[in-house]
Amino acid sequence: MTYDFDAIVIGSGISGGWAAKELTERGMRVLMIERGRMIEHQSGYENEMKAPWEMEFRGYGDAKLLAEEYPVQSKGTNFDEYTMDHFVNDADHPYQTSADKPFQWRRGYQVGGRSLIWGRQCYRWSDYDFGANARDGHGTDWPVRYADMKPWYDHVESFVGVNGSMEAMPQLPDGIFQPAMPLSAGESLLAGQIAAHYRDRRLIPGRSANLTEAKEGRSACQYRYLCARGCSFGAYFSTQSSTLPAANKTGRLTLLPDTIVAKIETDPRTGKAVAAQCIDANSKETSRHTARMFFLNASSFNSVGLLLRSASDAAPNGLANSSGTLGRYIMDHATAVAGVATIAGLDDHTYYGNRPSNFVIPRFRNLEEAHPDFVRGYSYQGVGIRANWPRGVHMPGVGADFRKTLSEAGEWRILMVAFAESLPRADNRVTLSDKLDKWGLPQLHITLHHGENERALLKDAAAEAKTMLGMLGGKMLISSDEPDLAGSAVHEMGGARMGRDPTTSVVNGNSQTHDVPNIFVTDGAAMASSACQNPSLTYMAFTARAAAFAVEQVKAGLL
Amino acid sequence: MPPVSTPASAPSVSGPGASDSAAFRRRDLLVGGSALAALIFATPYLSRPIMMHAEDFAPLLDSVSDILLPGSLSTQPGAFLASVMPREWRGLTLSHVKTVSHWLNRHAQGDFLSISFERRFAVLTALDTATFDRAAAETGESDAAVDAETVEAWTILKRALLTSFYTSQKGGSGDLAFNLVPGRWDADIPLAHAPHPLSNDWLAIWFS
Repeated sequence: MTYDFDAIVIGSGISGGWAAKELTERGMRVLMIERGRMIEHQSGYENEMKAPWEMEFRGYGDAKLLAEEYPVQSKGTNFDEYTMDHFVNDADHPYQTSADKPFQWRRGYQVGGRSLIWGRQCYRWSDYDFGANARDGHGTDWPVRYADMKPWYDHVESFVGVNGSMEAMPQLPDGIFQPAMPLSAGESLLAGQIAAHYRDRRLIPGRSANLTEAKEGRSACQYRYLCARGCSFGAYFSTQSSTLPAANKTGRLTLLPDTIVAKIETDPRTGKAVAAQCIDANSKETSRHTARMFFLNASSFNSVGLLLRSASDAAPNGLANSSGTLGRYIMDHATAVAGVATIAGLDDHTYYGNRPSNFVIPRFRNLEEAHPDFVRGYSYQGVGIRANWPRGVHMPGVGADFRKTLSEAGEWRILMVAFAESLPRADNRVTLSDKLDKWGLPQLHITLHHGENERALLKDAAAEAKTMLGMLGGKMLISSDEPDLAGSAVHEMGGARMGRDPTTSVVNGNSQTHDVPNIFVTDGAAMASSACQNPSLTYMAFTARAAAFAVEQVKAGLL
Repeated sequence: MPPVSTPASAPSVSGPGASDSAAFRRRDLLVGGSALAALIFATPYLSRPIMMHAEDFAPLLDSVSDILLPGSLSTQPGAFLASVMPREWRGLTLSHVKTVSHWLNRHAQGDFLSISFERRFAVLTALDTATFDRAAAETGESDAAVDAETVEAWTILKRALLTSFYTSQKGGSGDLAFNLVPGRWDADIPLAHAPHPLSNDWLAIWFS
């Protein structure tokens, strides 16, 4: 059989870009299909360099429009008037969810996907994470361990450009880092207090995909913190700045934007996937593209939705779903503002510039000693800033003295957000709804509720945050142990989990579906547990690893 | 923009900074007021509430802004807020402005915009003080006490006025520093080296 392409990559975000890069660089002719529009690097970043006074709503957006058409997206991080074109219009892209605690599905449908608007924090997972399911019995055991992943973390970090510090913490393995972005004065003060009072924890600079040294045609970070608008300097990792140019350079990439993959077609004789049936997002015309293999990188839940939609007589419950677990065991980190406090005695220190990163206090629970109240762990991410003019809303004042006060730096504040691990549970799942979208495809129904373990983790995180922040001598402003609505972390994972056993998992240790060997799922859908670290770096590592495996299979005549 | 009905006792908008068109429209209303009262019982059509628009309050917003942040008048806060208020920018609605206007007129014992600057300053200060004086607001015992509705309205209006100023070029790059491309991250420097924070310190803006 002849194929239009060696591989079709569905989705052009963080993992899709990696799949395209790795496959083309290994000699494959690749079609990358993206449901959203093209956004060109640099010229496509329309609001990148605008000041607030150049925007109709000064950067805050049209509140009525946002309430009507962006009710989910507008409540998320990095969404504002400058960046809203990098998020979906909720009204155009509906989904179903539970009414009492609706899942917050934050999406970016464009070339680059959410790589344009992601938080850029990059952390390796350790064997505390890859071994977690086996250790406490929640979920199925990962078929890989850190030793399997380390070379691929090295591989992707070397290309991405991750800044960070070497810390020798077994729960957060060090990597190949560019120089770290230093802690602000307030953060350093808290780091010192924690170091002086605790042996089990440490506050360290965040590790982010922002260059602190120029590399490969990309400039070092200019400390603007305008990342989500798109960065013409190419200083943060995105499909546009990094993987797409690399894939294009091979001459073997075809990019097809504005195209929705409705279904993956299989050959009933072989059981293998043979084609992607597509719908033009604008004209609604249909098309069909064949390939030797398929990489699903449409984002966790959209990849699951595509497999569910691809049901056939041979696979009536969805493609690659002989285990019956497709769509189940979805997760998202449970987050809460564990603490916000002021700092006393640091008023003569400040900072300059916009660091596009944060600090992190890596997990310290359930490493060597089991906690009596919960399994797994949490980490904190936060920032230390000096309050700016909006503090004036919350303080009395009128007149010249008030204006003068607001023109000066406000008090130091430290914010700590807890990210708690989400346990994989069968009743947290994605299914197909009876309701259709405007292309006639079933909408997704997403049910994801945080459980008692997540609540116990956040309760402990809030209490510990208050104790740590209390050492700063300031005032506690906020502390919460109530989890934000699921989806708020934008770390949705699972639904096509990885495992050794075809009867309990969807993909094997090579990210290949057990049922259909020429389909690879290498985005967040394949995650079997959630850890408490940001997952994107691990998606990249799995994708690069799977691409190498897939090409070997092709060369061996097995695909 | 959609019209909003309001009683005939809406605020006067005379005073410095009033836009010509808004002031003209307002004068027409006031001049015609007595004739309107005479006819109001005779003509069912005319007994409808007078429709007020956001721009009718632009002079009041200009005045309040210039008291809150002296010098902000040149950024035309009234015109800007009137243009974005129908879209509920920063949560601000015409209802909030009317509530604040009512309180100011009541405590000015007349038209807030017609009293001296010193008295306007005192009245607005009283509103702001009362808003932050939760105890007085809750008991209602203080003469300057405000009810919950007014507290909310003033808080939202104050936020909108502050945002209007500090996202204007004058406020954002005059009172505060502004540099869209800082080019460096100085993690710990003496305050004297950067006495005025960046108005584009985005994280600080979000977390303040």
